[in-house]
Amino acid sequence: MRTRLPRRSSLAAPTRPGSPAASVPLSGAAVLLRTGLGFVLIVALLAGCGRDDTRSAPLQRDVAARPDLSKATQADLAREVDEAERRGTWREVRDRWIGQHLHWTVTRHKALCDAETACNVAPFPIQRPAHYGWMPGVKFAPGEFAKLTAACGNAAVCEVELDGTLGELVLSAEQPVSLQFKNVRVLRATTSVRS
Amino acid sequence: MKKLIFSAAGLSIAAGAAITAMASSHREAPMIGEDQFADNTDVYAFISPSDSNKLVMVANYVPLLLPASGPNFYRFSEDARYEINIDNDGDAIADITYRYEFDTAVKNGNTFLYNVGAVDSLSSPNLNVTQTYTLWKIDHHSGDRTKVMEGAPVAPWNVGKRSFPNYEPVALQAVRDANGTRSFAGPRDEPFFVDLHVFDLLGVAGAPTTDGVNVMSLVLEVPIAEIAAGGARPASAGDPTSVVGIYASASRPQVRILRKSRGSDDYGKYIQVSRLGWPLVNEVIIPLKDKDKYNRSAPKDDVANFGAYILDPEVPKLLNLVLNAGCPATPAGGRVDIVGLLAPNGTTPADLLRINIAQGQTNAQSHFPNGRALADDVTDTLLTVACNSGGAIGDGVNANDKEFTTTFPYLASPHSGNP
Repeated sequence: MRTRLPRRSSLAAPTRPGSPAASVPLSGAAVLLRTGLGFVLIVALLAGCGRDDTRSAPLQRDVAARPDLSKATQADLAREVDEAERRGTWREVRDRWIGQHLHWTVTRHKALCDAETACNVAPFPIQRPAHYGWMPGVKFAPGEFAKLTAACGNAAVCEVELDGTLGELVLSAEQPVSLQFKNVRVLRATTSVRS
Repeated sequence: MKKLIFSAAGLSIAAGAAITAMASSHREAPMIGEDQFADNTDVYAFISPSDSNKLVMVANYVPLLLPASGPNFYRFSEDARYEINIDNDGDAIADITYRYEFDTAVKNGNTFLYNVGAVDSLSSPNLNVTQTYTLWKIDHHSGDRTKVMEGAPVAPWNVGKRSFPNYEPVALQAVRDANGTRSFAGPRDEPFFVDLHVFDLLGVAGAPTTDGVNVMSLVLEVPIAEIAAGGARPASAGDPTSVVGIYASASRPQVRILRKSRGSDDYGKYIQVSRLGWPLVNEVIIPLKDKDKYNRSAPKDDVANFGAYILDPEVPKLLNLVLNAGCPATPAGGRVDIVGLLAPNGTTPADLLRINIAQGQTNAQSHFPNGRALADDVTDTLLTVACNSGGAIGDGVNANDKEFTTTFPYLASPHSGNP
């Protein structure tokens, strides 16, 4: 993407002679603040700290402080996501969940998980209608997709108990919620589906 | 009496509660509702009726325009990028993008008038406010960025009979050709037909509420070989690369600084603020909390982001709740039939308007969901698919108010501000 130069003005307009700004000596910072350039720098700084920050790696001290979520379900995550949306702060949820080893029961729809490289699963049974749009992506550990297909056969839907590491969790003001598991193992799969 | 018309059975059923929007993508999300000039309303794609080796793509923006809307008549935004994106290998990622960028010129800033006398051509000195555009073709594989056209004129607004005694010949002077590509940008009659009384507690009774309004159209006709994977029209209609997926979008610069003493400055990368492939997806599939996020996202992520909404849509439940429409409950396996429609020929499921471009495909086969012809009644089709009751459902509006043409740019002339 290219950065467009200003179309209607120069980047930092000079101070007009005779204006108050011209008659009072200003510090470098004050000059910057009084010019468009200073404002742009502030905007850029704020953008860098924006709410859509999707950095995923928590600091080491955060890892130590994180709770054990190994028994947490998708419903727990959904509740935290809802709460984050209400608060307008998402980083805490991302830091708590990314990297966690999770054990979830999900639904595999064959049409949306028919290849090892393209698999998304439904975290919730059909709710009429769905309350959440996200369907976690699944990156299987070696041999695990074959286990899934062997257990599910050609069934259109299949209930799957899996464990894996939450590798990605996109959660921000601008982007829709999405998540991806990595190194997933299939613990159980059955064509009897939750309702 | 509030009614939803069941067109096949000829029934009308009383309604009593609210339903989501059904103007294809007109003001469909909160944020884009505040940014009218970047609002993508509809996408159409069909094999050209005059040359079956060419594909026509139509992207409409700026919804529901009153013809008499002076003195600042509608136009394209100078600060936005309007894009038609094409996936030609089935992975739901754009391989080719056609990008329109607009500039505005004012001959005489000392008048408030759009035109200062009758206009008989695009070069008329009486036409005071004009727009031109640059059309780029971007190949995302090679990184090549080719300027297809530069300084191409935008058709003027149809101000009225005094300003444009003979409007359409003037507007058609804006049709431009370059190396087999044909392009038009400008106002046209709104081709989408629907009863917008759906917003009034489902008060649908066949009122043609989009009659008489205009829209800003981009119409592009390109050789199919130029957009096909491998540069040649596929021989087999069953291959994933025989289907191209199309979506239109609009993007704006990330940062705008409003100046006290002059206009504004734009900085930063472009952020997508609107997108559309199929009609009605963001309207009736995506719930309010995610509509703006849908506009920011890419089709390749549709399953990861919104897949559960597609498997388990709200529309049938609302139709039953409000109209006792007899739509069956969503099966435990979800609406994989809808997923299938979004993934023809084994392509990645996504909100893309997909059309088969293989050899032998003709305009007669270009009907939704294999592309979308201007006259297709997509509201009825999608309500019927969503309900899945075995009967047809419709809004009672079955055709546009104006005839479409069989020649480029195919859309009807815009309504006059002073007929």
